Amino acid sequence: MELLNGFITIFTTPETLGFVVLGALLGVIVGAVPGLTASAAIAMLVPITFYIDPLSALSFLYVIGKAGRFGGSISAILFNTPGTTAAAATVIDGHALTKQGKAGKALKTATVSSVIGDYVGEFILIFGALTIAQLTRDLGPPDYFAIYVCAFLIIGSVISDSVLKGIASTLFGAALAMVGLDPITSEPRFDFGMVELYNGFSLVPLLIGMFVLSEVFTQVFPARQGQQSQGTVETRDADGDRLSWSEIRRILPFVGRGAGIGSMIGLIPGVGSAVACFVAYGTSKARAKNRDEWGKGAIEGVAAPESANNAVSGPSMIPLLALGVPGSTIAAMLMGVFLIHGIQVGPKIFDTSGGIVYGLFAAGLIGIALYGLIGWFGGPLIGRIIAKVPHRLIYPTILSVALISAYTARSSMFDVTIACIFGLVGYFMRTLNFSPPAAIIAFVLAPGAEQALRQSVLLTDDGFGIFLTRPVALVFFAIPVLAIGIRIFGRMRGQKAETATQT
Amino acid sequence: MQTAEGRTSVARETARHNVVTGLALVVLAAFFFWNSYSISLDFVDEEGIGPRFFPQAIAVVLGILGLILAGSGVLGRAAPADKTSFEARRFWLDAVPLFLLSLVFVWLFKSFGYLVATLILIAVGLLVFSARGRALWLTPPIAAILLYLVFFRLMRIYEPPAAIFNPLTFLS
Repeated sequence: MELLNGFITIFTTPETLGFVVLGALLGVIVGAVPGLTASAAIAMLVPITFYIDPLSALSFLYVIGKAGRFGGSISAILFNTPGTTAAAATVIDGHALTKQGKAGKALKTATVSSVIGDYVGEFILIFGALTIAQLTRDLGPPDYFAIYVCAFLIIGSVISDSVLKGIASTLFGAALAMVGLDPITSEPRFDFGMVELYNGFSLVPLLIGMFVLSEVFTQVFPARQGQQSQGTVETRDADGDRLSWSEIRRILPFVGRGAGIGSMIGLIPGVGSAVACFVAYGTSKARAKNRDEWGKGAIEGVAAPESANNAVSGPSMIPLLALGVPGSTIAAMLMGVFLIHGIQVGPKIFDTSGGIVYGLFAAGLIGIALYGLIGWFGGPLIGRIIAKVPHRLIYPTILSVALISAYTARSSMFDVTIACIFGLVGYFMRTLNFSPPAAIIAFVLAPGAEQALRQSVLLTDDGFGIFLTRPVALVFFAIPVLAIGIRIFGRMRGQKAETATQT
Repeated sequence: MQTAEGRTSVARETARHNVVTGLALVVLAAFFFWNSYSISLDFVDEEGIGPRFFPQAIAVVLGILGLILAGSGVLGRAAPADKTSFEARRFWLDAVPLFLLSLVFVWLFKSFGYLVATLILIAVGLLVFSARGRALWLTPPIAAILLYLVFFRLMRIYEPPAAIFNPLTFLS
């Protein structure tokens, strides 16, 4: 019923509906431009959304995130360059189909799979978030602190190629969050006598610096080299452009498996679409009857990863809505928008701002259909246009939009300077294999974690002993220990096997 | 396919980078830890955790991780998938000019307002990205006007007064 009200709100508010349509179109375009991710686009657009109503703002950014994941498949299929890391596995069979003159078939396969995968993930979000929120209503500060620690360590340990660098990235983000007023005593910390730092760093300049400016800095060399050969976008015959019913039936099991894998991975904080697409590709290939054709242009090889990377979108919002803990970069940015509009995220959000949450769910469902239509009918056209616009024109324009957006958030030139500095920090982090997303998520999580810890200790005379009396907290403390243990054990086994092969 | 020699070279380079970044993390952690002592304890209760605890805990763990990273780098060890791509040449030729250009934009915006700052930012940005010909002359004014309309007219963002001279005030 609430979901129906959400649909009614969207369809009866032209402004919100307009932002959903714009989000779907912009997301597909942004995702299709190699090097420009949905996260970067959302980072630039967050300040703009401060000027519109909360539902329109959240719907706009949420739909960009969804459509951006799908958009990455367009450049992956047409140009052999994934627009986003989420489409990295789609390149393998998608571009092989393009080389056979079946670009249209590959794009339509990606569209159908993305849409189905995204709907599965969205329904899991709609039913899962409310259920988990009802279960977590009675949790206290000690349990919340354990959840924060769990999120920190899981994100840190899985988001980067190196567990150590991933955790160091989260600690760096948490350290940045310590700048500003103390959450309990309101005493200033690390402000170095600067009035601008009295309230701490604003999220927007950090986002713009680490996601957008650092990306522009790294794109100078590839853009100077010029765009690579774009391959053929044209199809050789009608069959190469069409996706028949029998082919749709053939890919459905792979779409289903991909959606299942993507949804499960989406629930784990920090893992994301890039991992989901490769896990789905590998698992589906192992079970495929035609596995010899995979890598040479099998439509199933496009369907599985595309379904998985979009199925991540919905479940990755569950920790944010049910617990107030963002599990992904996009969720962290949306949390910023929620807070700016005075909406407290967490288990009570369904009571306090249910209309907005169900409106957001409805916007997600509408957005999926919209980017599906855009992809089905306009995918090749968008690909052709992006191929014609030189990247050396796109990036300087993005640089100017990013800097002006950084100013827009608080009308502060200090924020623009901070964005520039964090652009350089983000450049170092990217090239030295640290994780800017982990740092940003930790930056958002850290104040809540500190508050929860300090409240927990005040609740009892036992000090830190309170955590031993809370079963929920103990479970959440144990999860990351197990996850890191499994990863280190796996690495040691891999090294042993490698040594054995060499000898 | 990368050769064994290529892989060794990347691993060696990654280890070298890890030594430097590990030490940088230690310095950063020490800086945070040292500065945490300037946090006032005037309003802290006897019970509970004070405002210095969390920053100091983060600094200690960050410092330890930095030491492990630097130590592993010295021993030539790194996680198998850990491959850095930092190149000093690319940093100085690509990132530094754009970083400085962004800082110049901030100064120009404060001194001469939006229009001059944005025109120069986009034009010099295009030069850094090696754009030449008509695009170099057409993109800056078109983009600057479009962005002005979106940000300062449509969204009504406040444009700060220029410290020296804003040509837009003259135009209007």
